[in-house]
Amino acid sequence: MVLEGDVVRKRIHLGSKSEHDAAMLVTADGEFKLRVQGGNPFVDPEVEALVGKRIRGEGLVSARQFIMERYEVLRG
Amino acid sequence: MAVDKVIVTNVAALRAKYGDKFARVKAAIDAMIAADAGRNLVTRLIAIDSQTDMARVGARAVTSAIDQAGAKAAVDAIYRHDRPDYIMLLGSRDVVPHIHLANPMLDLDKEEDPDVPSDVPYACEAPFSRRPEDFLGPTRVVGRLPDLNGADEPSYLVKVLATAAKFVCRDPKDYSTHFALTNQLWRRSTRKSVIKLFGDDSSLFSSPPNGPRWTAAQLAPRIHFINCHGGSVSPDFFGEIPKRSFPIAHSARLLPARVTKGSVVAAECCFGAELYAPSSTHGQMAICNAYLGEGAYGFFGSTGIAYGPSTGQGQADLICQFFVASVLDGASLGRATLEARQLFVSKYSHTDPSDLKTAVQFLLLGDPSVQPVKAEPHAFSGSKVVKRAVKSGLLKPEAREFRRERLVRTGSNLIRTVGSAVPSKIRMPAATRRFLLRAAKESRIQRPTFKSFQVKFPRTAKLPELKNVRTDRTDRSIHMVIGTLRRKVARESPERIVTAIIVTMERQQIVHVRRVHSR
Repeated sequence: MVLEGDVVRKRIHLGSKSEHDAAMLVTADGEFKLRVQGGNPFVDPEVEALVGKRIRGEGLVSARQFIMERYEVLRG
Repeated sequence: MAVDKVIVTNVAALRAKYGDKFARVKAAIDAMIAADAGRNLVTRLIAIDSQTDMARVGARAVTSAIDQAGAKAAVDAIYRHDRPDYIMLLGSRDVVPHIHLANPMLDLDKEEDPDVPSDVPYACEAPFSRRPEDFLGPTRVVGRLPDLNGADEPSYLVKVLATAAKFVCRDPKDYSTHFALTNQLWRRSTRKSVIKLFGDDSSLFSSPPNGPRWTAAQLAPRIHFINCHGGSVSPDFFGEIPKRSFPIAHSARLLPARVTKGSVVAAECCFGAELYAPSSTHGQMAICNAYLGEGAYGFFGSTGIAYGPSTGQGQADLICQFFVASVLDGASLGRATLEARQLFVSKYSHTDPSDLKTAVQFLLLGDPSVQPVKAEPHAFSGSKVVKRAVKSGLLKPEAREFRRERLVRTGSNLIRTVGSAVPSKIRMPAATRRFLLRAAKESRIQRPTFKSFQVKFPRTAKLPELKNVRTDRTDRSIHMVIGTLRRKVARESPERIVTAIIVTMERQQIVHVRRVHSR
């Protein structure tokens, strides 16, 4: 799956056992927590570096998370 | 002949995954059936895709491995026809699907799980639906022995079948030690769980600083109780300290050769029992799969985002505690799962959305008929006269049948009496809104959002004796303000971040309030 959007930071899963600040990909199809395959799902410097940028990524969507195999920065 | 245990699977789906190698799986299933016979259990393999098997129980064959309604109808028909004491679903969710229920938390948090993958409907009399509140009264002993999602080689499945077939019921002393692991931030909550279960917290590890490279000695105890972060499609569990650091606490990659045969795991972690395809993580299987592959008998965990307070006890803490307590008391893994679900739901007059989600998202991965720990028999049962009576056939112990009767009665009572909060557009009374606003301000919650729910009870809940209780079940509602703490407070006291204040109302009167402390 290919998704394109802006990366923002947001606190998610309020009150749950996994409440945390996350990098979110805001797309025309909704918001997805952003991850890179193999990275730490809670805090990943590679994903953090994308906050504030517009990207296009390729990967899979699971439980409202977009787990990217590869991506490109469109606007930084 | 009465059937004690059914192995329910989709043979066509297994054949599609494994091709000619399915013969190895069939041989392993036959070996399990033979081993069960040696324990006086009559076990039957039932293929929900087989017209013959389904015709025998009066149901239609399932034609697709993703047909949730068909799989549920098939299991219901099997249960009603064979009345087995154990239902073992065989295969991952690409063989026998989870039932995807509506997520009752989704109205509160749009980043929540889109739905709740669940095996609880298979344990319930209620027909197929997507409403989690229909499945608050489980009555059946159900577990799932999974293969690897997306696999094309059956070695893993053959191995976990063999482990279950050869299980050993051990003395309680063999389960007298434990490996307990907590996210450092939740240590106070986990400590309470561990003390309740094991009497002390001397073996409770925190992450950070501990993990993930546990020694074999540290992982040697057969009971593992884990309260860490977990992520979807991740083979790791994570700890946390207050400065946005989430170190790996426990990893599937580091489990090989470190799990003691017969271990039983209860994991409160989000997505702890998510059965994802290893191909999504460069071939690394999920930690729940890894435990079973290394010889653990059972893994009790959540398919999605789980809930629990950081300092008190609630939701995931409770249901996992109940499961472990039942296992240590000598229950089979399946009965321990059913008792945990029933006891959890019975703690509430009505379930709020997070309770409701908890009740349906925890499941057992493992053979439900496996009894890891010997139950302590009454002295009289060991007397000569009783032993002689059993040997001669004068006495035929029916303890399991009595337990099943009790469990069916308990589950039936729950579904007839317990209410649940469902999202509603009911108007929040102005006074209640003012109260919540003031409370949010006092608790320094910022960006408060309001939500309302109507508590709905089953029609059968109007029992005569309930007319005598003073609570009013005809007009009960829940109103909630949810938000985040101002940063200054969070930094000073990271374990006391308030995220929600919840009021329960009967008619126009506030009758209960609580604050939910977030992680």
